[in-house]
Amino acid sequence: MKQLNDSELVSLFKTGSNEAFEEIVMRYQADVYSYLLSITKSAEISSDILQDSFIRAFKKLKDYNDENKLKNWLFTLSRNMTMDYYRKNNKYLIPLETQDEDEASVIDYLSDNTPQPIEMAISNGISESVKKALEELSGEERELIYLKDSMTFKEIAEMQNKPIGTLLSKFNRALAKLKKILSETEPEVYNEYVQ
Amino acid sequence: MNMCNNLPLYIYNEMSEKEKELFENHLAGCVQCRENLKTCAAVKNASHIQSAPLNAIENIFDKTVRKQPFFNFSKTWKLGFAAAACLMIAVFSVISDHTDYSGAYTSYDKVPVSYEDISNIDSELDEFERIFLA
Ligand SMILES: [Zn+2]
Repeated sequence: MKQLNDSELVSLFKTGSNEAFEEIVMRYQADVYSYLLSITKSAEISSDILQDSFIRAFKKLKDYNDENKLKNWLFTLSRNMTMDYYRKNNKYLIPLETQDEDEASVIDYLSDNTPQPIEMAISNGISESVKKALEELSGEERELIYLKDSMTFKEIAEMQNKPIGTLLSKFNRALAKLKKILSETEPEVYNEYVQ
Repeated sequence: MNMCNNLPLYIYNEMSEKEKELFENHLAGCVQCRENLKTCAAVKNASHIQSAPLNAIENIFDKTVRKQPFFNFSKTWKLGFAAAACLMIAVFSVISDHTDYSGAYTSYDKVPVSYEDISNIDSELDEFERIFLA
């Protein structure tokens, strides 16, 4: 099962193979979960949305026809589920004026109004300081940096329907911000990582 | 396109050989890019990927591939059979107690059913439930 590519897994799933679905979940759960963490900043909410997303994927996958873009599809699905989650949740009610705007502004809104720290394992190699610095980025910038762990710029451009140039500019802006934050707040970390 | 903008493509190895060569030429003469190179590499090397909690994954499987069908056919069959058997017992016990001397069956709705009859049926129902639903 592990040797099969995404396209083969989807085809197999359509023949009724539960194992194929299990492999899809195991292959992408960490990518999707980490991505959700970058948006929600909450392990609990990310875990809930992750479950809803894969349960929905299970129902929808039989009608899905673009087998080569499974990863893209799963990320888009989980992003939409995140929007739904917050729209349904009164606690994080989105003001009307942002509801019809670009989804990215919704992500910014959510991120900026959920001040709890990103809940990540300390042992995963990134220093506390870099984590803190990432939290000072806008939701959109942080989302892009996290997406880069799982996707190429080309894939993100396709998923978000944006030109690569726009994404690169955004990424570079985020880098410049990170550099500034680190050099100001954590000069020793900045030196360790960057110099 | 502005060459400096392409730095992330270089760091994430998303350039063709030709693009890479062009960019390396640019890098040699661009102080800004050389400065940003390390920040970009630091971000790339600090992987943010982490696994979801095990119970979340278990829940996904419970609600998808391990989900029990709404109707359990063997249980439904047993229940149906038990119900039919109980009905037959009930009808026969009433009829056999109230057959008149001519041998004809009295119509069911004219049979005066005593408290005892009902409690007999009840106990038989219990017995069938015990046997068939065990
Ligand atoms: Zn440059």
